[in-house]
Amino acid sequence: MAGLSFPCGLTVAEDGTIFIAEGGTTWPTRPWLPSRLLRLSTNGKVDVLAVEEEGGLRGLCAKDGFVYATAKGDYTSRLLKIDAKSGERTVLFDKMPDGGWHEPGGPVFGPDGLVYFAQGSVAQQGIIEPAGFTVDIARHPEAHDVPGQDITLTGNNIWSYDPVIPHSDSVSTGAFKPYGTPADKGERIKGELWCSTGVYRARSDGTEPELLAWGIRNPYGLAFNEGGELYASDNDYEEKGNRAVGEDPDRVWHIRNASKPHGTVSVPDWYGYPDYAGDGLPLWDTKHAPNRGMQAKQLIENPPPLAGPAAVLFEPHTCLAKMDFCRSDEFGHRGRLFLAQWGTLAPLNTLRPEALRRGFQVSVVDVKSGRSEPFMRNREAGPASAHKGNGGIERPVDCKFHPDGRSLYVLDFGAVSVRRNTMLSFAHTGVLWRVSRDFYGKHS
Amino acid sequence: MACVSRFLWETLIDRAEKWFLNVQMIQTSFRKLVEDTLPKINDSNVRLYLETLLKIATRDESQAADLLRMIGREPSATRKIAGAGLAKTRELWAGVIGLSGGAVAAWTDLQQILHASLDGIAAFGVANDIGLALGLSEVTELTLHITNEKFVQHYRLQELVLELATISVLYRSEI
Repeated sequence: MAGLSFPCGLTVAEDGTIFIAEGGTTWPTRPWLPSRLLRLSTNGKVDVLAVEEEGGLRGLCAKDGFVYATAKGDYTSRLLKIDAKSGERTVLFDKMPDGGWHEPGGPVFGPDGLVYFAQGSVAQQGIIEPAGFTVDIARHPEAHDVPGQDITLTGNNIWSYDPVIPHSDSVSTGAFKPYGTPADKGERIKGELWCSTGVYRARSDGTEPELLAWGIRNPYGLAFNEGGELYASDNDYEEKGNRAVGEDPDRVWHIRNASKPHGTVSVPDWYGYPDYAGDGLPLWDTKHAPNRGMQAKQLIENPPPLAGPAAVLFEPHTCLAKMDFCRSDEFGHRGRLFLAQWGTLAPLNTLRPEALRRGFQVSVVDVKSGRSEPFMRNREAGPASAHKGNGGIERPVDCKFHPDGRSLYVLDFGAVSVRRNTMLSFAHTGVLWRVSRDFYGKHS
Repeated sequence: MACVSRFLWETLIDRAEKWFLNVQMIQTSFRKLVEDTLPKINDSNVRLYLETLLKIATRDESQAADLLRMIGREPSATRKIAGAGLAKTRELWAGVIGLSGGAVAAWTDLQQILHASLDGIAAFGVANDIGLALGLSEVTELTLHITNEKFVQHYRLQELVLELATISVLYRSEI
């Protein structure tokens, strides 16, 4: 299936029907196209089940005749429940703080029948900075991160030039504050259930929400293994701006609180945002000194204990996206995590030349040993469009197994052009791939 | 010792008055455009923003009238009417653009607000310089605040217009 516009997530229902979310407004926010929920029936017919008028459909999962969807909106992200036959839509939650950089994550159902979902950070690097090309402060000048626990701030604010005001001097901005609002040393910020960087769960009717974890920068992919353990993908900090971080690895976290009974998590685990890298080192460690921009300083004076280490670390800037565990002997790699790596945003987010071709593949991952290897990629590293005439994948954004265990579906976001100061995404270039294993055990 | 004759000063004030009347008309036009566009917008987020914009525009319209009082002159009822008329002309022009370019009405109106916003920045910006040129700090303080605020609004309006452009022009969706 080809010609998709900015597809961001897929799911395969129990009966084999495939649902695909077209994001509408994505990365970057323009152009804005209709955010459609497409339905590919088992007879091959494709139709539009629903259009999300507010835009921003991201992740999907199907259960008991409904499609659950996360959607990025204005100042908050939403969790939706959509009737898989009629397309009728119910908003379960519209409270995850957003209006900034990162994405709502999941949803996925756990073995306990609860729906698990997430929300990434509002600030890109822990503090809101001007970044005109994705228009965060222009469209959402009041957006800011919200912590999941009570915290005290160091008052290490950053200075940046305000691009929207003439005759402007630099403005000072603090952590968990809107752009242009400094924080005071010793200032206390109250933790909230609906925090940014959080992983939550709730009943499928949208009741009894519970915060399991926070401090995860961009938990776009959520997946349960056969043992009922929840894992979340997460992306590294960028090497740019006034809080730049060098060589932060991409990572997959084990969300341990998901194994506790519903309603018993009194204190959410903290995974390090906005102060710690994927390897557990503080962002001001010399190992994370950036080769451009100002190195990050500590923002939280009294950090909670770190919930890491990460289950798996990857090279920086591979851009981890959505994922699924294999439950099939027939397909092979049973128990392994299949993880879409959307691909680097270098040279926009780092100038290191070695980062220019990272990602652009689906990896197969052993979350117990932390080892991973490429499963699906082009012959030459990088997106197909970088090697004209060869064909292949551009930017895999999601991968999900068919319930029969014979096929893996890989959703390709499509063509993106990244430059040193901006990125451009092209509609109608997304693709849905199917990978099956033949008689001889070869995947194609 | 007066460096400027009374005659010259009065001439300069007369000229400033003419510009401030212009500011009043342009601001009335902007406010009226926002007011008329609001009912056409379905998107709750855009509506919310325009409601905020309308409140600020109404305040700025009143402060444009204050500019005239600051130089001892009176605001003009005629210019207010002219401003409303200018807004209607822009709405008609938006209709022409919509018909010829194939965009939905609400978006073309939003685009006209963007143009009107730029006119407003220029109008208050000139008033700011007039305040400096005449040594009238009250005028300068007021117009500097409004101009800066209008720049922020303009940036956001521009993003809204561009963000909603494809869905309006290509998909003919109401916004």
